[in-house]
Amino acid sequence: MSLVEINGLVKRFGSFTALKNIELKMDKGEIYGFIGPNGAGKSTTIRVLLGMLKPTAGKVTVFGKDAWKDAVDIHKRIAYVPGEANLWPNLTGGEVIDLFLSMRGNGNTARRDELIQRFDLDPTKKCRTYSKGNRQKIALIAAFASDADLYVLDEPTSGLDPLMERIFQELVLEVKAQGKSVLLSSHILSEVEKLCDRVAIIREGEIIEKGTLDELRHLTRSKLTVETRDPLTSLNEWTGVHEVQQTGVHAEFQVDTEDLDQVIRRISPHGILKLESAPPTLEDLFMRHYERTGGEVSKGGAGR
Amino acid sequence: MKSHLFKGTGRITRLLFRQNRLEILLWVTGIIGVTLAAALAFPEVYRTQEDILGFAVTVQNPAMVAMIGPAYPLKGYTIAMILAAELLLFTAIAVAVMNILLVSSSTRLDEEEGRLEMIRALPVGRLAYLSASILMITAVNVSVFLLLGAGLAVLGHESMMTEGSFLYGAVLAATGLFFAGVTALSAQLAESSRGTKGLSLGLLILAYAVRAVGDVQSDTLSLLSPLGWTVRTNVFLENDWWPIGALVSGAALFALLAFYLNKKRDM
Ligand SMILES: Nc1ncnc2c1ncn2[C@@H]1O[C@H](COP(=O)(O)OP(=O)(O)OP(=O)(O)O)[C@@H](O)[C@H]1O
Ligand SMILES: [Mg+2]
Repeated sequence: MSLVEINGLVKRFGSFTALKNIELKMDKGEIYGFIGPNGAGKSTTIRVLLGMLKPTAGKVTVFGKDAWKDAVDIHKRIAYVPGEANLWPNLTGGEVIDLFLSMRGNGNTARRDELIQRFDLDPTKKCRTYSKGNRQKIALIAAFASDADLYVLDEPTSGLDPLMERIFQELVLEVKAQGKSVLLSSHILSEVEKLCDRVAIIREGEIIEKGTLDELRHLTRSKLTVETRDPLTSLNEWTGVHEVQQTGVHAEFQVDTEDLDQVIRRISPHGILKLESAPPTLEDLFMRHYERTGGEVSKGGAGR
Repeated sequence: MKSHLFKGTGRITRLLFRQNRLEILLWVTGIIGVTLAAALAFPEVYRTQEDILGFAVTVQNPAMVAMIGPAYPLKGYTIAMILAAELLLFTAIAVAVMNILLVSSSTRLDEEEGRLEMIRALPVGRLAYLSASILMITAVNVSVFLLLGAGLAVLGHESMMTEGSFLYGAVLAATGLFFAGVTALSAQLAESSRGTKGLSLGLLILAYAVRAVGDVQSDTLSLLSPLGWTVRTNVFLENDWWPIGALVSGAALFALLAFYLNKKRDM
């Protein structure tokens, strides 16, 4: 049984279809990255998962239970951090953290104090006076001080400084080490690349790619920089070669991963002086998906 | 399943009290302070029976009736009646405004600003936040009822008898509850917290206008307005309690509708 299972999820707001046909499976113990442009439907998917929104169609289960009907039971084992932690202006940060822990009922006060220290938060101030980053810390402390099986984090680090961002990443890895699972929606691709075992890319309410980072890389291209004794001719026409920039014996271009072998063989006879290959970053992948039209994207995915 | 809908209400109620404690304190002390101050001052202002009668005569004319509600008969006019004539309706409106502001900020505003979202992700029932808001406002209104009733009965003029004093507190609290119900329902229907406040305050103004016309022209028309009920207790004279029942029933009906809609809709 998967920890989270989303089948054929459709969500409409009036006549606007925010989620078209979401399929997603998450296993226990994994960190699942959820990325996509603004307005793609990440938060909407997460809200359905948390039983805050009712699916228009489709089935969503968490821990094998129905996300809408059994929300209260499911939430006993979930910790959630929204991208915009809005708190009660007249309560102190400490009061809010304690409130969340007491409502979940399995908070750990020693862990809470440790986290307050690690995040360098002053819990005695009124929430109204906290900066955005500090409000975010409160939500993170409340989440990570509670003993959950699934951490649902929707752009949790927005507003955090790099030092705090690193502490966040440590925390995610710590809970993973304890066998907990994490669903992480993020725009910070380096964060996703560092933390996530698997990634789903969502665009306009549809999941357009998903898999392990390696699998996703496989669908993309490597960036090659070469210098050869003889200039490479008509590079543009080679199969699997794209976006060529060439000045004499120096060439930079992208190669479809499945054509890498064939292309290198073809370069070899020209006498390689220098060869640099950069793996595609998640960002390259992401950009490709964001910028291209739907047709080409589905071509990329057809190989599987 | 059913009990799950309200799980966590108690803790959220405490949270809402903490969040709104200053606002509640200022409103309640303001309302009670003004009323008790007036109750204490009037015997000094209206020293003789002529003074009292003078007041009683001025509030008989239609313009005054439209403004403050039906007048008591001239015969046997008391200081207590002066208090009710001068203050009851306007204090009721202040209590209604307090209810509208507190309920809209602890329902729709908290939802709009994302505070509800953090709560909804906890093991907390779908209706818990709305229940907590209604519990909070009920407690506020009950305090107004008890504090005003006891305050007037103990500190007020001798014409402010115990039953009348508590009825006076009760009618203010019941009017407040009615508009709390109106606001809880508006919060489910309106698009935003501004819309919620606008709709509820609009209905309050409409209720005042219908009552004003009705009190001058036709009782039946007045009875269509909740504020028409507010001014029909004959407090300190006959002490009619039916308006309390009517207002509280209206509040309960609106609250039930609000729960029903809240259960059905998404965030
Ligand atoms: N309650 C709602 N009513 C109507 N439309 C909504 C509602 N919630 C979300 N939407 C729309 O659904 C789409 C998806 O929004 P969502 O917040 O899920 O995007 P997102 O992927 O989280 O974006 P971001 O990266 O900016 O957080 C958007 O077009 C948004 O305007
Ligand atoms: Mg979002």
